[in-house]
Amino acid sequence: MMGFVFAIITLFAVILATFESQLRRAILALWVAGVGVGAIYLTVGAEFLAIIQWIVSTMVTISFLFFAVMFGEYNAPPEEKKGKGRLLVVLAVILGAVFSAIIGLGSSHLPEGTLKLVSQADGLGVLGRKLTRDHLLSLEVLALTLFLVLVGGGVVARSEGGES
Amino acid sequence: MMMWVAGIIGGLGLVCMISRKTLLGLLIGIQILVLGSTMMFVLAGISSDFRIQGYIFGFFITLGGVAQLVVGYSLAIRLFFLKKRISMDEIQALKQ
Repeated sequence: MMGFVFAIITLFAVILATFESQLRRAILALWVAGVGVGAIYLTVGAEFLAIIQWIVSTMVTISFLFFAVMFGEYNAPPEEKKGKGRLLVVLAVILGAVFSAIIGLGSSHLPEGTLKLVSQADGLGVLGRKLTRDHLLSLEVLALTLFLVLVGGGVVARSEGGES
Repeated sequence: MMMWVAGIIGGLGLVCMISRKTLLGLLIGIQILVLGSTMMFVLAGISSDFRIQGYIFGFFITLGGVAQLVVGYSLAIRLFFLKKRISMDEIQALKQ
């Protein structure tokens, strides 16, 4: 039951983040969506992912707010959609609906009892051991990717001459 | 039912990516798409009795989303440096 409540809140927030023309409200709606998805993870027993999702969503929202203020988009007037813009939105909605339908129809149903609390097999310790023993290479690749992104981001965002 | 929710979130992310006019709007769309795809993997892992594998895939996708967000921010900074705005119409300027 709680899972469906969280799902409705999340869907409402995602719709707001998608169609809200003011960036400020869209960013806050994105945060609510991230927190809602984390809450859904909690109801299906994925506590580890729920915590990760909440931390990531909050950090992403803070950085979005920071960059929106920096680029002057935070209090920018709402975007006006006319003619071609509206057609693009309608086409995008159709494409999104097709995508959702493919995922929804192509997936199998969740088995009964998935909303129960986490069992011993899903504990943090088991997940940590699984990550470091069976997926160590993937973890290392992810760490290297994040490191390269950090360095590469600094290079891409350099000033014109690149002296500094 | 929950898989439909994940699919709708992913679909709305796609809508947001296509319809937004600024780079930050595009990044919001990508984040929504990443939210939906993470949820799909977690729920697919549960439905196929591979819970832990689903969680681990979700973990990697979430952190991969963070990595692409950082790249998006750096591109936005570069674009703002070149054009003083971050409109999607000006994105071609990054090829220079």
